[in-house]
Amino acid sequence: MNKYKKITLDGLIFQNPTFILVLGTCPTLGLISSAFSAMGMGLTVLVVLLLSNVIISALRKVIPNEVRIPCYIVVIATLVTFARMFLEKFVPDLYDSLGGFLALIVVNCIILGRAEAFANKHTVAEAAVDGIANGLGFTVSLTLMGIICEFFGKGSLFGLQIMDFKIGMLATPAGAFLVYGLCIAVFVYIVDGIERARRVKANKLARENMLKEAA
Amino acid sequence: MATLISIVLAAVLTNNFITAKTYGICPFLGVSKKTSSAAGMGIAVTLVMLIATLVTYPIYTYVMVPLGIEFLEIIFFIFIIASLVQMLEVIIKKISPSLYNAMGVYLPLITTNCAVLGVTELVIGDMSAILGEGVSMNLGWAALYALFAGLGFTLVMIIMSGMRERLNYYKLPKAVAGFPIAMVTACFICMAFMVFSYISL
Amino acid sequence: MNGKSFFKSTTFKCIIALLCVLLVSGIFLTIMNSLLAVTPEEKFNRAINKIYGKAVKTETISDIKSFNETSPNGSIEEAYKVKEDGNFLIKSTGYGGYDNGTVTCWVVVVVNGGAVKGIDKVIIDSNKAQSYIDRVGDKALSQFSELYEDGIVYTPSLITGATVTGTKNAICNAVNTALEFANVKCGNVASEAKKLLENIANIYGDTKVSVYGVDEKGEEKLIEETDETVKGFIETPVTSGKATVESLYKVRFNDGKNDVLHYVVSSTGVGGYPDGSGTVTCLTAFAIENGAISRIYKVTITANVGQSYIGNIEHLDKYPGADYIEGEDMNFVTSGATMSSTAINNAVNGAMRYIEANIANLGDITEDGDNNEGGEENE
Repeated sequence: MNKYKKITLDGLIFQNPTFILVLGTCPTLGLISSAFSAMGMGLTVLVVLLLSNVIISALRKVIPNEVRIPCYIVVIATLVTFARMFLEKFVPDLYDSLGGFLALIVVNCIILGRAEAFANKHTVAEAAVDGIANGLGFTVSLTLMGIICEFFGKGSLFGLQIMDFKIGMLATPAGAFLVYGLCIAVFVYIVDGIERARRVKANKLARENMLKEAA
Repeated sequence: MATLISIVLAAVLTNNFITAKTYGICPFLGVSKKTSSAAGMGIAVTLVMLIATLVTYPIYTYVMVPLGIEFLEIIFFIFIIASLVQMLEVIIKKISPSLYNAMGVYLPLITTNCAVLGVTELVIGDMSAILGEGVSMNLGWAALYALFAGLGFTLVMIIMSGMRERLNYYKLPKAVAGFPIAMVTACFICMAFMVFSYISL
Repeated sequence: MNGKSFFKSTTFKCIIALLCVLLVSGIFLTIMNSLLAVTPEEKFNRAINKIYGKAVKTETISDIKSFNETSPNGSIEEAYKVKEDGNFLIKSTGYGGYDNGTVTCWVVVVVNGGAVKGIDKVIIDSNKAQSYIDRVGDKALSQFSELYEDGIVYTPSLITGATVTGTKNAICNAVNTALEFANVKCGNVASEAKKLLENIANIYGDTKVSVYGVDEKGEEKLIEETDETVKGFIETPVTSGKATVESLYKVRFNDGKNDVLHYVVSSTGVGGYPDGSGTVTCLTAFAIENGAISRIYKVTITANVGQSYIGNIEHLDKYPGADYIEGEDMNFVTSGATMSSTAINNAVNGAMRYIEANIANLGDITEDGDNNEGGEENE
C-alpha cells in the first residue's frame, strides 16, 4: 500500500504538476481569473488524465515503442474531443467558460508527461492512482488560485458577488502571472520546509541507530 | 487595408498570444533565459504557426466541413502539426545545418506548444471582432494572423529574455528563484501590454 | 527485404498499431458525435434558457421591422414570447453610447393580463466600442427591475453604481426601446385614467377603498375596476398656482372607526430641474372633514420630466405630518434635489389651492347620483 501512498503524495504535493513541475501553465494562467472555470478545467483534466493513463497503461505492451508518442497523442486527442462533446451537451456553461483552452488540453504537458513518464511503465491500477493524484493536484491548485484571483479581482466567488472592493488587475493575465508566481514561491517554501524536516528526522533516526549499534 | 492593420495590431499588441491569451507559456517560461535562444524559439514557433495554419485551414474548410467531420478537428490538427514539425526538422537538417543548429533543437518542443494548436483553432473559429464588419475569413487573412501572432510571440519572448538576463545578476532566495520571479517579471510585461488595449480602430 | 519479412518487421507493426488506434478513435468519436451532437435548435433554446433562467418554450414575435422604422433611440433585434407565462424576451440595441457606440441587451419584460407589468432582468449581450462595459455590473442592471413603474423612461442618472454615463445611456435606450416595443405589442398603452386608478389604489395599500368619479352624463358614480367610462371630476386640466391640476377623485373608506372622505388630486408642478422648465407630477390625497381640508394624507410622485435626482427625494412624508392652514403653502426641501423639491411643492400647493377654491362645489360623495353638485369643472 505504501507504493500507492507515495504515488498519491507525489502527485498532490511533492511532484505537484502546477506548483513544483510548473506544467500545464497555459490553461492555468488563462482560466484562474474565475474560480468556476479554473475548477472546471481542473476536473476535465483530471478525467482525461485518468482515462488516458489507464488506456495507455493497458496498451503499453501492444503499442510498439517507435510509434508510442503518436499513439498517445491520438488517444489523448480522442479523449479531449470526447470531453468537449460531453461538456457541450451536458455542461454548456463550463463549455463556454473554458473556450479555446478546452481543445488545448491535448497539448497540456501534464497528460503527455504522465503518459510518457509513468503510465507506460506501470500497471493499470498504479497508473489510475497516479492519474487521480496528479489530476487532483492540478485541480486543487487551480481552484485555489482561481478563488484568490476571483475574490480579489472581481469581488466574487464562483460567480457570486460578495463585495464591491476589487483589484481589477488580478482578473487579467497580468494578475494571473503575479498570483501564480507568488503561489509557487509560497508552495515551494512550505514543501522545502517539510522535506528538510523529513531529512533532519531521518538523519536523527540514523544517528540513533548507529549509536545503538555502537553501544 | 483596415482589416490588415486591425489584424496586425491585434495579433502583435492588443491580443498578443502571451500577454492577453496566455498561449504558449511553456516555452515562454522555459526557453527565455537567454536572448539568443528566446529569439531562436520565437522564430521557430512563428514558422510552424504559419505553415500549420496554411495546411490546416484549407483542410478544415475544403475537406472536413464538406465531409461533416468537423468533430475530428483536434485529432487531425495535432497530427498535422506533429508531422509538420517532424518534416521541418528533417528538411532544415538537410538544407542548412547551421540553421538547424540555431533553431532545430527547439522544433521537437513545438509539437506540444499550445500557441500552434491555438492559432489553428482560432482561425477556424469566430474572428469577426478582429476582421471587422463584412469581412469573411479566408486563407490569406488566416495566414497573416498566424504570422503576426507568431511575431508578437517572438517579441514578448525577446523582451522577457532581456529582463531575465538582468535578473541573473541578483541572488534570490530559493523559493523565489526560477519560476516565481519569472512569473512576476511576466506580470510586468503583461501590464505594459495592457496599455495597448486603449488602441481602437 | 521480401514480402514475408516485411510483414514481420517493426515498421509493419508500427503502421498497424497506429492505424488501429486511429480507426478505433475515429469510430468511437463518430458514434459519440452522433449521440452527443448539439442541434442548432437546442443551441438556441439553451441561449434563451440561459437568459430566462429556466427552461421555457418560446414563439417568435413578428413585425419587428415596422417598429424599428419609427424607433429613434434603439432597435429591436429579436423578440420572443414565452409560452408558459406570456412574458416577453426582447433583444434590443440602444444607441448613443460612449463614442457613438451601441449596447445590445436582452430584456425580460414581465407581461401579465395583456399589459406590461415590469422588467424581470436586463442582461448585456454585446456592445460596440464600450471599453468600460465591465463597470456596469449586476447591481446596476438589477436597478432596471427595481425602479420599474408604469410609464417610466430610464435615464443614465437613474441607474447608480456605475460611472460610465455613455454606456449607461445606451443600455437605458435599449431597455426603453424594449419596453416601448412590449407596450406596442401588448396593444394597449394603458389609458391614463386606468393608470391613475392603479396609483390611487397604491396610496391606500391594503385598505379597501371606493373611488368615485363622474360618468358620461356627469353623474357621480362608483368606479369599478373595469369601468372605463367613468372619469375624474376634472375634464380639462386647470391651472392653479404654479401647477396644472389634471384630475380629482373622491375616495371613501373605513379607517377602522368611521367612514372617511378623501380627495385624491393629480397635479403637475413646474419649476423643476434644470432651469425651472422640468416638471413633477404628484398624486396627493387630502383628508376632507366638515367641508374643508383637514390634512394631507399622502403625497406620491407618479411622473416627471427631466428630474434626474428625483430618486433622492425623501421629504414626501413631511406633508402628512404638517399642519394644514387654509391658504398657506407647504414648502419642504430635500437637499441635493432642490429644484425637483420646488416642483413637488408647486404641485401639492396647486392641488391644495384648487380644492380650497372648489370645495363648495365638490362636496361629499352623493352615492346614488341624484345630486349633481360634483359635475364637471371647466374653467
